[in-house]
Parts: sequence; C-alpha cells; structure tokens
Amino acid sequence: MLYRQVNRSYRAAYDQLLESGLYRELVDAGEMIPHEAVNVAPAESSLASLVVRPERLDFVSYPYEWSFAQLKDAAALTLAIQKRALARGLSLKDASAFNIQFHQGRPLLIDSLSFEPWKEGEPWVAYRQFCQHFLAPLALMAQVDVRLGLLLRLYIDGLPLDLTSRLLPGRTRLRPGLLTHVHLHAASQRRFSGIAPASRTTARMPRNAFLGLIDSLESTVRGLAWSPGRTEWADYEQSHTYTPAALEQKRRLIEGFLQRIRPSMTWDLGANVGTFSRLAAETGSTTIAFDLDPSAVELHYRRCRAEGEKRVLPLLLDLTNPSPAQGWNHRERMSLAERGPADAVMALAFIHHLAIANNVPLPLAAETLAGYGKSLIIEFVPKTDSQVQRLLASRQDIFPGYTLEGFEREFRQTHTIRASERIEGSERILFWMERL
Amino acid sequence: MDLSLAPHVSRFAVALYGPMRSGLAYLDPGSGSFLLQLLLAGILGGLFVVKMSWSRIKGFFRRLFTRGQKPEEHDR
Repeated sequence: MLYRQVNRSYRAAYDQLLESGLYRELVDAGEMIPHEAVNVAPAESSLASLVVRPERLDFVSYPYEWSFAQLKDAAALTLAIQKRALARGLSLKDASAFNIQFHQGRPLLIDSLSFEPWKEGEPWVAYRQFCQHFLAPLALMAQVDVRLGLLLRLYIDGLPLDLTSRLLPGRTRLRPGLLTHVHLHAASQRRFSGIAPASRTTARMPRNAFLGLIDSLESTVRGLAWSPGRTEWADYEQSHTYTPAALEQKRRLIEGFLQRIRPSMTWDLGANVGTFSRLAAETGSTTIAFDLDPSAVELHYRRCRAEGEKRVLPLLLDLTNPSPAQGWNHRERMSLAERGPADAVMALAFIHHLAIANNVPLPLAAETLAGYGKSLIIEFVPKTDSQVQRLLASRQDIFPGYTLEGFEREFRQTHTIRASERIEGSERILFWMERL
Repeated sequence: MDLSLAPHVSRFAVALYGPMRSGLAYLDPGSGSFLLQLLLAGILGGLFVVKMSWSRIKGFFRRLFTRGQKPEEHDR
C-alpha cells in the first residue's frame, strides 16, 4: 500500500487544491490520479498534517522507456494541467516527467501534491524542469535521432540544456520555440549562473506573460514531430514467416494457454506492434508490451491510443540491458526486475534473438525469464527456421546446444512444462511452462 | 512506487540545501531559468495578447458567416 504524507508546511496549498475545485476538475477529466485522505499514522508525525492514499497503479514506467508520442503526450498533459491550474490560482511547482504515468491507456499526473498557489509576478518555478524533462529530449528525438531519448536514462533530472543546445543542429535556432526554450535558455543559465536570486526580485512576470510562456511551450511541443520509418521489426507483422492458417493456430494456442493461466499482469517480451499482446489484454490482463525498436513501440502506442486500448502499455526496452535501479542509493527508479514478477511472460519468436543474436546461454535465459514471471508462454524457434538461418548467415554457428532437446533440458531446470504444441506448417513449437 | 523513501530523500535534500540556502544562493542553477522568463516577459505577454485577439477576431467573423450553426469552440 502506498501512502503520502502532507506536511503542515504544505497544508495550505493542499487545501487550496481541493477548495479551488482543481482537484475535482483534474480527476474528473482523467488527468490526475485520485487519492483519499486516510487515518494512518504518519511516518514523520512531527511534521505531518495529513496522510493520503493515491489510487494504485498497475505498473510504473519511466520516461526513458517511452516512445516519442508517449513523451509528447505526457508533455502536452503537463501543460494542459498547468493551464487548468492557473485558471484556478494555482501552478505546478514540479514538471517532472516522472510525475506522469500511463494508466489505462492514458497519461496521468500521479503527484497530486505538486501544486502551489500562484502569485502574479512570479515566473514559473518548474520552467527549467519542464524544458529538461520534456522539451530537450523531444527536440533531440525529433531533430537529431529518436534514440537520443535514451539520454533520459543517464540524466534522471532531465537533459542538461547546454548539452541539448550543442547537440541540436544549427537550423533549430531558426525555430522560435527551440531558440527560446533551449538555446537562449541554455545561454541564460550560463550567463546568470552566478547571480543571486535577490537581484531578480525587481522584475515581474505579469499574468499574460505567464500564459504566453505556457502557450509558447505548448506550440513548441506540438511542432515537434517524428515519424517511424518502416524498420525491419515494424515490418515484421506484415512479413512474418507464417501462413495465415499457422498464424491463426498460433493465436488459438496462445489464447488457450492464457485462458488457463488467467493472468492479471502479463509481460510480452519482443512484442513488436502488439499482435499477441492484444490476446493477453482480451483475457482481461494488463499487458506491458516491450520491444527494443523505437519504431515498433511508437506504432504500437499510436495504435493503442487510436483504438482506445486501455489494457496494453507499449514500452521501449532492450532485454539484454534492461532498465536498472537508479537515482539516490539506487532507490529512486526501479529496475525492471523490481517491477515484477508478472503473472505471465510471453516470449514469442524471441528466444533465438537472445540465444543466437545476443549469445545469451539458454540456462541464463531460462533463469531470467523465471524471474520475470510465474507462467511462461514461449515459442522455440529451431535452427532450421528461416529467421534463425538469417541470424546465422553472417556468423559462425557456435551454438551446438541450441536444439529442441537442449532447450527443453535447460528450461526444465527452472520450469515445469505444462503443454507444448507444434505450430503446423512450421518447425516452431509453442510451450506453456510454470516456474518451479 | 515506494514513496516511503520520500522522507529520507527529503531529509537528504534539506541537509544538502536547507540550512545553507542563503549562503550558497549564488549556486542556484535556476537563476538563468528565472531571469530568462523575466527578460522575455514582455515579448511572451505581447505575443499572447496578439494571438488571443486574433483568435477573437477570427471567431467573430466565423460566427458572422456561419450564423445559425454552433460556433466552434476555442482553446481559450
């Protein structure tokens, strides 16, 4: 159970959140997580005024696991919330991307304690954070390379603006939004880094200027676009090796396994654009669909958003180097493993990428997958399969143990095989296993 | 998410920044972000007012020419 303590020093701001009607407005609009005041002894009673319990999330994801459109939607939501807040005399004091979570298909502010009363004349205290957490990575992803979004994993308080300014191409100085909020912002930070706050109190930020700032950030974010190219992975759905009948059989088998497992949380590893993630979602399971290809995750997220899919969350993740525990004492951001185990893990057309493309020995693959979930639906793709042949075409076959017998033997060390079936018209075999 | 960490982190933050705040204020990395907003306040405010007036003018003409139909909603 998760509780949050409202300290006495913050109580007035908290009361204003409720009394102004902002809390209700945001919760009703589905833009902020609801919480309730509870009667629980606070952790630090000397400071405490109140304890609240926010609604529980199914899964916590981080900005460095989001696709471009996910980060952009989270940015747009932050600004939309800031506008609603200003209309009611409040302002966000944090604009951290970590305060946004994807819940039932939509981004959601999870920090209901990040508002403070806004006094006309004050600049936006979270301006720097918004630019570092949202604008800088979005600009780099759109203008340079989408993979630069992963810099968020390195800089967990957002990308330094001087770095962003240096990495962006010179032509971005011709775009008023990027010129102002990234390039000039970086220059201003450099120029004024030695100036004491006392000297900045004479100038004021009138209401229209504040609204203009938010409006300018909004149009800058809106103006950033990225289109996924048709990458090998993203094309996969159209170009897989299955005949329609085999694909249908694979689908039926997976459905059958899922109906017997009845997971409430499923991790689909190597989900591509989510063809099979959907099957898990249809059985009622919250499904996290991981893929390492930014294009596949982007296409998958856009599809979920367009279809109003609430149970599937596409995320960017390289299973050979999953998100680590990060931040202060490794305790601010959870590793992938800490966010598990799931009830079920699906690893479809995936094991050959681990074992052959990435040299992961089968015993280690089995052990890791056992750590991620209780039940496992896994497809064995033999060496004779054309996809494996392609992987082996450019390298020496140093995998004598990669056989059906070897696969079963190694996975039996960590799992019980509950069912297995060959997919007709292919040499692939689908397994349902339970970890020991 | 484990927010039982929050008291520890905040105690750390207080230890690091709290008591020294006045003495080390010149190290505040937010100075540039504050001052930029104040420097640009005039431009941002001006552009915003122009934009809002323009959308009001557009809205007026749109209503004029689409009389009888429900006027389109504006952001603001």
